[in-house]
Amino acid sequence: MAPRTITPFGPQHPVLPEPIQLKLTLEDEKVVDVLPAIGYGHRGIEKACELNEYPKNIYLCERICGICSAIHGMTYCDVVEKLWPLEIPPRAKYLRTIWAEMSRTHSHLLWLGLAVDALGFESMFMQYWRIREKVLDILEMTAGHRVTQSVAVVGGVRRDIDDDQKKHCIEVLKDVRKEAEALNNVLVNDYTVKARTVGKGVLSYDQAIALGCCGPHLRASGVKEDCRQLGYWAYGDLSFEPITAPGGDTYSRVAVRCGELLQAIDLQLEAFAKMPEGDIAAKPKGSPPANEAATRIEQPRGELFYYAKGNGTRNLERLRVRTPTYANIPSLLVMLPGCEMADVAIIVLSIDPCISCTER
Amino acid sequence: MGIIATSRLKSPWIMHFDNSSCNGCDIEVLASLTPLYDIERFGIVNMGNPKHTDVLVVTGPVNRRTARVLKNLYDQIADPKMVIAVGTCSISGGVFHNCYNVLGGVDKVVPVDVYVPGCAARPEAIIDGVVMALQKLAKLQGVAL
Amino acid sequence: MSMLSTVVSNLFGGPATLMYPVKPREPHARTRGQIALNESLCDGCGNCARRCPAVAIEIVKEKKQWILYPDRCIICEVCADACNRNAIEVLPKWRTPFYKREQIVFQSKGGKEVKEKAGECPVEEV
Repeated sequence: MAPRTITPFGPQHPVLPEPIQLKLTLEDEKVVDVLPAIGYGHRGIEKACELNEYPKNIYLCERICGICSAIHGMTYCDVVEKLWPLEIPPRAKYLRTIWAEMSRTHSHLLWLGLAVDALGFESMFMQYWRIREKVLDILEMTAGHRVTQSVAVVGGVRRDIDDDQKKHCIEVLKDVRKEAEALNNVLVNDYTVKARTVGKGVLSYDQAIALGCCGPHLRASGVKEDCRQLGYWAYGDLSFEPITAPGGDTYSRVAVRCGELLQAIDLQLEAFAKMPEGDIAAKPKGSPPANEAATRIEQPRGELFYYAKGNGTRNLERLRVRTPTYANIPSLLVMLPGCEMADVAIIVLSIDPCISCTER
Repeated sequence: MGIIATSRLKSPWIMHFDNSSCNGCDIEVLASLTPLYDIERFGIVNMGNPKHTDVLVVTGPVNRRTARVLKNLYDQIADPKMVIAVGTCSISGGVFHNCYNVLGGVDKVVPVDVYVPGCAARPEAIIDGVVMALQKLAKLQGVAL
Repeated sequence: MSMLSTVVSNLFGGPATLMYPVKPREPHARTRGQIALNESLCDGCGNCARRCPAVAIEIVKEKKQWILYPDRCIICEVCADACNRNAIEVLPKWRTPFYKREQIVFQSKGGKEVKEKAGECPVEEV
């Protein structure tokens, strides 16, 4: 048996900007064991949500994760609305869908950029991030900020998209779709990318279900599961079919996210076309009643679960958040052993880890 | 000494460390490296190694676990060094002020030279912050920027 | 070969880079950059301070002061929405970085004696 070495990967690592530590046990260049250590990013947001009044929590929940902050804020509003229950106006549903899909677009562009950067394909990284800036620009135009949109409010949304903005958004999105399609074609057909990703970090259909994975990571193993099939907000009215890939390896995960990126843009264009006129927010009456509610929303990384318990006051008694990366980390223990040290970075990135979500 | 001090100002190497932030500022630090803002125009290079860096860019509030890591990284950087706190939560804790695991701003652990406000800080503001840090460094070393 | 169209369009499309310090980007009307108080409209009701999720606004009723802590403000625009008199403006320009944590004091309803001073921000104990 070759001598074993233990190498730390993180908490400060050039590939992953976020603090997570993986203790890799190596036999020469081969990984034989892996031990993830999480908890560097723990802030205690769930407890702080009990101390704040309920409208303030929207802005705290948005800062659980900066990449999908709009979805976190809207999911929190969604679960608090279910305590009454409070019906939101149809236009607000469409606006939430549009902003959620915009977040997904920019999140997937970001991930594709980081993933190809981990492969050393730096020019492609720059290309993806160049078109991502266009999506951030329309987010800033419609919501007011590039990263933390702060558009959600209990009962609907805070900002409306007027006709000029709508026209501009559609133009930009069509442009982004054209450019992203060209880049995706290069990426999935590239010889080097295939050599680095095909057959690396394989997770079979059964393993993916047994380990409780979710999101694009699960769909890349061939499981057709997507929370958007539940038809919350406006998804019930839109033509939507989850994208899957059969392989279960890193290449399939790249392919699924390439497909979802284009699908997210199509969903936005469809939602813009079908968006009804009307109010954008309903006013909640009094404090949330003593009641429990739970909601499941599809985030760019997978299923986001919120549970809230009210007690009739302006503070919530309990808020529980379950984020997709937490469900996907156990699959690293199956995917990493047996791979080369050089592939660790891309396999870890292939689950699209969002550590700040995981640890809150 | 003169040429080293001047070159340090002309091409500062930065290192980014994420305490426990929400990713927003981290992504904006990365975004300032990409085509639209491209801080490499100014010779600013992002480095992963604390021993090679001149400027430490810190995002996110310090919590009880990353405080030690941050101190460790700060001690490994060779003098003269500059620390930039990017984002409201790295300045004072911001919206996380009542979270039990958050100690507060970065200045509780290491001395901070420039504060870049904003939640999340815009790439323009981050570029401004790095330039301000260099102005301070130039003043300390007595070299023209 | 499939990259060719992207390469050609990049070659002739001009630079993607924004020449930032020379030519800053035009901000959008909705961009949240920083908040400021219009002192003549403020009546010190405290709606903004009560709703601020980051405790960035403090109102001293006796001195009629409205104090903003820029190092805590997360620019969520809640204060501007909560204000009944539209006294809080949201400016699209981002706040410039600073060397020292300071507080900005606005003298509300001060008439002509509107003054803005900066004092060091108290570092709160945790």
